[in-house]
Amino acid sequence: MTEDRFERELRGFLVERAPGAVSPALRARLQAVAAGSPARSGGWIGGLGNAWRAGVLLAGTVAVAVVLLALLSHMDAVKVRDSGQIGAPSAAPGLTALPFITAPADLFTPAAVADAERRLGAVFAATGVEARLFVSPQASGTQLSAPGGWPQRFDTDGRPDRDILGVAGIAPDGAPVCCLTLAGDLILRARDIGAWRPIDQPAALGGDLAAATAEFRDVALDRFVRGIEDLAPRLGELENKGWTNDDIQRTAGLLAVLVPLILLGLVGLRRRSVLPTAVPGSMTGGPELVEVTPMAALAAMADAPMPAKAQAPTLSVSTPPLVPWEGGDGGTVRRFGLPAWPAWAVRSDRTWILITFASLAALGIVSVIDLLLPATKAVRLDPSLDGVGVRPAALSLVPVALIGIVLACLLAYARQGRWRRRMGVLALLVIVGWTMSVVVDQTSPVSRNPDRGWVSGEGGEVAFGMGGLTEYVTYRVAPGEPFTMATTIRNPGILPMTVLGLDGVSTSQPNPHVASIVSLGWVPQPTDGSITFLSAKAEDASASWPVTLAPGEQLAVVIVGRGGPCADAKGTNISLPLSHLAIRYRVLGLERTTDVGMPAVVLVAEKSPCTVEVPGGTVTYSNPGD
Amino acid sequence: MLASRTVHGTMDDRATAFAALLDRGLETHYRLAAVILGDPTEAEDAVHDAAVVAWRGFAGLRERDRFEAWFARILVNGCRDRLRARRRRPIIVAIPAFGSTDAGLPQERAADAGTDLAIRDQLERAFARLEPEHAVVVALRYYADLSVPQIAARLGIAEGTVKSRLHHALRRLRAAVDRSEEAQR
Repeated sequence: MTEDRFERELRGFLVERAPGAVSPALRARLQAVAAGSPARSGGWIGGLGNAWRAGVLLAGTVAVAVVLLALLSHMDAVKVRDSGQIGAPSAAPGLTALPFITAPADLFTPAAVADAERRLGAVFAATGVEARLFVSPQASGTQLSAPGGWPQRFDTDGRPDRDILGVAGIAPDGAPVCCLTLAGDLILRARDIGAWRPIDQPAALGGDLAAATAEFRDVALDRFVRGIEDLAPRLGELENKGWTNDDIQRTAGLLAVLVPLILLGLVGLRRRSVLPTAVPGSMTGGPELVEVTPMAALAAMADAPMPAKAQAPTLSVSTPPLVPWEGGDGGTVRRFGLPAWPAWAVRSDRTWILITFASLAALGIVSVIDLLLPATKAVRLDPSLDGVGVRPAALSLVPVALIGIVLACLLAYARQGRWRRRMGVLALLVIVGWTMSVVVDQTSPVSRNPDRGWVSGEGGEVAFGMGGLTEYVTYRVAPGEPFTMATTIRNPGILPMTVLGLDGVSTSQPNPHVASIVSLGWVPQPTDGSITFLSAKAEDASASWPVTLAPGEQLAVVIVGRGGPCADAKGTNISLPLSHLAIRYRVLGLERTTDVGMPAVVLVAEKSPCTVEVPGGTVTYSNPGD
Repeated sequence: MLASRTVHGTMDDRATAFAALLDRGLETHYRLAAVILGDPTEAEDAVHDAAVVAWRGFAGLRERDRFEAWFARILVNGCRDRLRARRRRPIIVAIPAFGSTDAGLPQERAADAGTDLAIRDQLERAFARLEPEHAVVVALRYYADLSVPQIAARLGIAEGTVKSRLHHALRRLRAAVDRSEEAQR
C-alpha cells in the first residue's frame, strides 16, 4: 500500500469514527455545569489566580521546610529570646589565673593538687582537652554557680568543644554542694556514648567531697583526673566518626516526614485534568449503578434498534436540563425511601493538596510560635502562694483541628483516585503518623540528666549514698511551711517543647498529707546557653510561664513544696519520697503531661501516727511499728 | 466583543460568557473526543468533565480569546487519561456484520469493499492498541488537521516529541494494515 493510500485510509477511518451532531442530552448537561456551580467557581482556592496559588504553595512549602530544617539544626536559627531578660551575672568570682584545679586550700592535699595539675596538663598537651575542676565556697547551700566567663575565658586554645569545667560548691557549714558539669559539644557526645564513666564525672564526686579529711577527699580529685585521662584519647575516634547516633536518628526521623510530604506534593500537584465522572445529583460522583436482571437485559438488547453509524442521535429534545441536587430532604432513594447522601464535592487534586500544605504550614507555625515569644521573668516566684505555674489540663483545639483538616483532605484526595493513590496515601499516613508519634513521644521533659545538677533549698539536709550516685535530701518543715529545691529539666527530642508548668499538685505517698509540690518557677541563666547557675531561692526564680526549650536545651527550675498537716518540723519519722513532678508541656501545639523524676530522693519528716480530717470523718496514718 | 472582555464580572455574566464560548466550538470538540475515544457516549462524558474542569478554572482565564485552545487541551488530556484507564479493561472493537453493507454490489467491487472493511478493521484494532499519547497525536494530526507545531502547542510538549509519537504510531498502524493486505492475498 502506498503512503498516499494509507493516509487516505487513515483519514477515512478517523472521519468514520466521528459522530454526528452534539446530542441535546449533552447540551443539557453542559448547561447544568455553569448553572449549578457555586457563586465562585472552584471554591475559594480554585478562584485564586495562578500567581496566588503558586504564592500560597510556595509560602506553605517554605514554612514547612524552614521548620523542619530549623529542627535539624537545633533551632539556633529561629531561636529568638529577649536578651535583656536573660539571667544575671554569675554569683561566683571569676578566675584570675587558669589552673586546672581551683579549690579551697584545705580541701585537698597539696601533693594531690600538684599531681592532678601535672596529669591534666599532660592530657591538654596531648589531646587539647582542657579539663578543670572548680570548687568554690558558696554563700549558702542553696546556690551553685559556675565562674563568670564560661566558656570563652576558659578556652585558651580556641577549641571550646574540648573544654570541661566541673563545678562544685562548699556551703558555709562545710557540706559540698554538688555539682554542675559544663562541657563542649565533643565532650557531651563522648559522654553520651559512654566514653566518660559516670562514676568519674563531677556529679558523682559529692560523696567523696563530703569526706572528713583532705586525704579522703583526694579520692574525688583522683577519680576526676582518671576519668579525663580515659576520656581524652577517645575523642579523636569520635571526631573522625562524624555523625552520631543522635544525628542519624534525628535526620532519619525528619526525612521520614519530609520525603513523603515532597512525594505527596509532586504527585498531587502534577498536571491532571480529569476528574472522576461527575453526574450531577449522583450519590458517589460516579455513574449510578442500576440493578438489571440478565433476562431483562437480553430482552432490551433484542428490542433496541441498531444505531446508524455517523448519524446524529435521535434523543428527545424535550430532555430537561439536569440540575445538581442541593441537599435537604427533597431527594429520597426509591426503594427504601431513605434520604440520599449529599453529593460528594469533587474538587481538583490541587485543591486538596494545597489545603493540606496550608494546614501543615499552619501546624508548623503553631509549633514554633512559642519560640518567638520572649522569655520573661517579670513575675517572681512567691513561695507563700500555692498554684504558681500550675496549668490545668486543656484540649488543644487548633492543632487537633489542623490535623483533622489534613487527614480529611488526604482522604478526599485518596477517594478521588484509584487504588494506587489510595494505597499511597494510606502508606503516607502510616509512615508519617508513626514517625511523628515517635518524635513527639521522644520530645518530653526529662530530669535524668548525667549532670544531675540540683541544689536543696534552705533547711534541706543532704546525704550521700553509694559513693555519691544516690543522694537524699530531707526537709523538716512545719505544717504550711514551704520548702524548695532546684534542678534541671531537659528537652531530649528533636522538636521544640514548651513547658507550661505543673499539671496539678503532686503529693507524698502513701500519706498525701505530709507534703505536696505546689508551685514551679524557673531560673534565668547568666548566658543564653548551658546552665551555669542553680539556685533554690525563690527570689532568684521567675514564675512567668510558659518557657520554650529548643531541642537539647535545659531549664533550671525551682520546685516549691509545702508541708501538710502531717509534716513535723522536729520529727524523726521520714515519709516515703516525693517521687516525681507532673509537668504539663506542649509539642506541635498539642498539650501533654509527663511525670519527671526527682533528681534526688526527697524526704519530709512526718508525724506518726497522724490523724487528719477528711470529708466524712477522720483518717489516721501511721508507719509500721509505730 | 465577548471574547475580548475582561474576565471580571458578575456570576451571571461569567456563566453566560462561559456557555457562549463553550457552545461556539462544542461540535468540533465533541467530534474530536469521539475520534480519540471511539465511543460517542464516552466522548459526551469526556466533554462534560472537561467543561466542569474548565468552569472551575474559568475565573483564572485571563485571555478569553484563547478559550478554544485552552478547552481543547483540557479535553484532549482528559481523553488521554480515559484511554489510559481503559487499557486496564478489555478492548471492545465493533465489527460490522459481513454482507450487511455489500449486498447487490458487483463481484470486483464487493471484493474491494471486503478489502477496505478488513483494512478498517485492522486500523480499528491497531488504533485501539496504540499508546494513549500516540492515539491523541494521530487524531490531532489526521482528523483535526493540525500541524506538528500546533499539536505541540496544544499538548504543551516539544515538537520533537510530537514527531516521535507520530512516527511510532504510524509505524504500528502501517504494520497492521500491511498484515491485513498480506492476509487478503
